[in-house]
Parts: sequence; structure tokens; C-alpha cells
Amino acid sequence: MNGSQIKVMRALMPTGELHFGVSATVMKASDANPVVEIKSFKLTTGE
Amino acid sequence: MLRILFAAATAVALCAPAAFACEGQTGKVIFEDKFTDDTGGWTLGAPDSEIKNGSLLLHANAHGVDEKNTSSVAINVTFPAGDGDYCMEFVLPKQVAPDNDVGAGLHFWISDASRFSFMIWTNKVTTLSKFSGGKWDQIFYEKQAAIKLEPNAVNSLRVVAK
Repeated sequence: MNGSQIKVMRALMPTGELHFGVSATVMKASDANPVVEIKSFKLTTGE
Repeated sequence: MLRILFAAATAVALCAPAAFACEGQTGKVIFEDKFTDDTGGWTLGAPDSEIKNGSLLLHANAHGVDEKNTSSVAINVTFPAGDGDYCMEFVLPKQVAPDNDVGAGLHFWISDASRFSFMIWTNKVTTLSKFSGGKWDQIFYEKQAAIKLEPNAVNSLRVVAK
């Protein structure tokens, strides 16, 4: 947090064409309609 | 085996969030969207998701109390990507109730059969989960006091997958 690392893990990358996305989830349905506001998204190649 | 590094940072809007946002992303830009229009290639569908006023809005519970799927997901289908340095900036809403939290997630390595999701929740928890075989498995769960919940506070979430 605030620039510090949370976790480093190893995982097997799936094969084939891969995509990315964003989501909003609420734990239980209700009459409220909470909204997550995505302000920007950026993807770079990394090092 | 590949190595994934997860990092997240938060910034309060009043403290020049752009200066902190996604700091340290490296390499060439593959994709960037500030949501000034709907040309970014995201799967959108009202009333669950829309681009409005310079943001991608995800309505987690747009269909009310009888809704069975309490998630809204937008996938980018025009820029395929696997390895990379992903970062998004977002504002979390208030939790619906003390026992009903809201989360924002970054999904990556999405294939027909599986995907990973890194989430930040209004109870100040982060989770990493993997979907495969038709179900979600939680890989880790961790409290993060630095998650900002103040109105209009901008959180930044970064995942380096390589």
C-alpha cells in the first residue's frame, strides 16, 4: 500500500488469447446500487 | 511457472492523486483509457456499466434486491494481453451496510476457462482469487489499513504479471 508491495506469488499463466477487465461487486443484493467509479486504466509491457 | 507481483497504492483526491497514481509502471504503453469516450473496447451494458463524465461506472447491484448476480464486470475485448504491468485508479463507494461490503477488482489473465481477480473491499480487505472449473478459489486475504474510503478518495491498484 502507498507504493509498497502486498504480495509476490507464482502462478501458471493460461494459454491462448488472454484479456483483462474490471469489476464491482457487492456481497448481498439490496435496494442500494453502489457504484464503483473507474477513473483510469493503463497497461504497460513492464520491464 | 511465472512470477506475479501485486502492489497497490492509494491517494486522496485532495492531495494531487495524479502524482501518486500508478507510480512506477514500466515499459511501453500497450493500452491506456481515461474514459473520455467509449472507444476503449470494453464490454459495456446499461444499467450495469456505462462510461459517463470521464469515468467507467460499474453498478454492482443495478437490478435491486432480487438480483442474483451482484457483480458488474467490464472486459476489454479489443486489446488482448497476458504479461504486463496493469494499473487502475478508482473511487470506492460507501459500504451498503456494516455487513454488506462493496469491492472493486482488476481481472487479468482472462481466458475462456479461467481468470484471476485482485479485489479491494470497503472493509479494508484485499483478496486475490482464481476462477477455474466453474468456481472461484481465494488465494489470499489480507487487511490493508491504507485503503481510502473517504468520499472521492482515489485508490490505485497495480498488478505486475510476468
